[in-house]
Amino acid sequence: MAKKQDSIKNRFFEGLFEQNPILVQLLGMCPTLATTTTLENGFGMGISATAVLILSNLLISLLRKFIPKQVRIAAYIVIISGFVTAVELLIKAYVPSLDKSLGLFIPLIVVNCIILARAEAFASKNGPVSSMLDGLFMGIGFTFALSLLGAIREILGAGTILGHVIVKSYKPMLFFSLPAGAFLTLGFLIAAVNAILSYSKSAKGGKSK
Amino acid sequence: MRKSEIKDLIIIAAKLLVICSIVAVIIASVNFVTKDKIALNERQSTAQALSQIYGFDFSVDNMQFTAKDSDGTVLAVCKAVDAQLEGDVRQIYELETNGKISGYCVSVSPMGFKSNINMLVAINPNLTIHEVKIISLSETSGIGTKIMDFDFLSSFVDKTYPVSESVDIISGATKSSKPVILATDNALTCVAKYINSKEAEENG
Repeated sequence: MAKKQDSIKNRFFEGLFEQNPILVQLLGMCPTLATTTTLENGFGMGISATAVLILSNLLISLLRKFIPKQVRIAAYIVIISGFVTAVELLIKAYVPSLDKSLGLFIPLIVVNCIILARAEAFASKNGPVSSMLDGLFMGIGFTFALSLLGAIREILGAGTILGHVIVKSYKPMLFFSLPAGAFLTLGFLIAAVNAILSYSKSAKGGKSK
Repeated sequence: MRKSEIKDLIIIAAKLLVICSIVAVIIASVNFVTKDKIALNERQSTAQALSQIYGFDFSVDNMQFTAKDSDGTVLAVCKAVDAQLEGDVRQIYELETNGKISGYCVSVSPMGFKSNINMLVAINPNLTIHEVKIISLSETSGIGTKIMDFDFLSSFVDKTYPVSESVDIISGATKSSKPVILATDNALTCVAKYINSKEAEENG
């Protein structure tokens, strides 16, 4: 029981930091750069992708012995696009403001390589519960990175957080709301995360000696 | 091709069919649950757009849009009419204020460069354009989205049919701006036909 809890805890931190799909694995760059103009958009995109990740991992895992190997990628795409359509309909119905701000990037979740990568690397080889947890932890890591990037860009580029002005006298730098600012901010974030991970690994290595 | 290879192909195709069927059932179920709410949201977007065009605070009221003051007195009603629709015209609404018809509003959805552009064309009783409003679009940011610029939309105001001869296409955004112009002409044509048919009915 304790081993199982440790394993779940390890996988959670792996998804959040060590194997973060955006900041470490550098997957899903297109929606990352395009939708993180604000914290709300980044968080909304992250939650949508997480829902698709969990549901597609679950169904692919349940059907893993049924899906023929020769056409597995086509089958994964059909399943992923089905759930993306379902999530899009749910967003249109219950969060129409998010639908307006994310627009075309919701259907583009279909071609987000994180989802296909986890389907091929994990869900097709493991049981439903593990696959769901894998989808959840990768999704949390994805949402965390998108939210962090969105928050930084919104604060620097618009002077607000969740639409509320932080410092009245601050003159926002529009550059950070534009694509070039997205690249720069993401680059610095990736550098910072990798520096922290590298320091943490060398500290652990030093302790074990 | 050997019999065993053909058999394998048939099995693969059958399995893919089963997977597609499962996914289709999931999508159909979610669509069934959400379609009414999505339709209501669209109508609320239309009510918001009508409010911005005419300055009244419209809200969805069954199959029409009503603006009331704080006492509950009806200030304006925008109701769908039974008219012959052509092209991309989805619905014609008649605006009534103080018991008189004071304009028409046409919901049109022409195909842009990427997907449908949902717009409202507000027309005065003398068949001049009051305003053109884009409700939603999925055009390329910075290029197709120029159709939402004030300069382009304001060029429609007070124009009559054919608008295509007096409103310029946006250079570099032809595939987004041309459908908007043609849709406006369609809207004017449909409203003119509706007014004529209504007058013919009233005259017996």
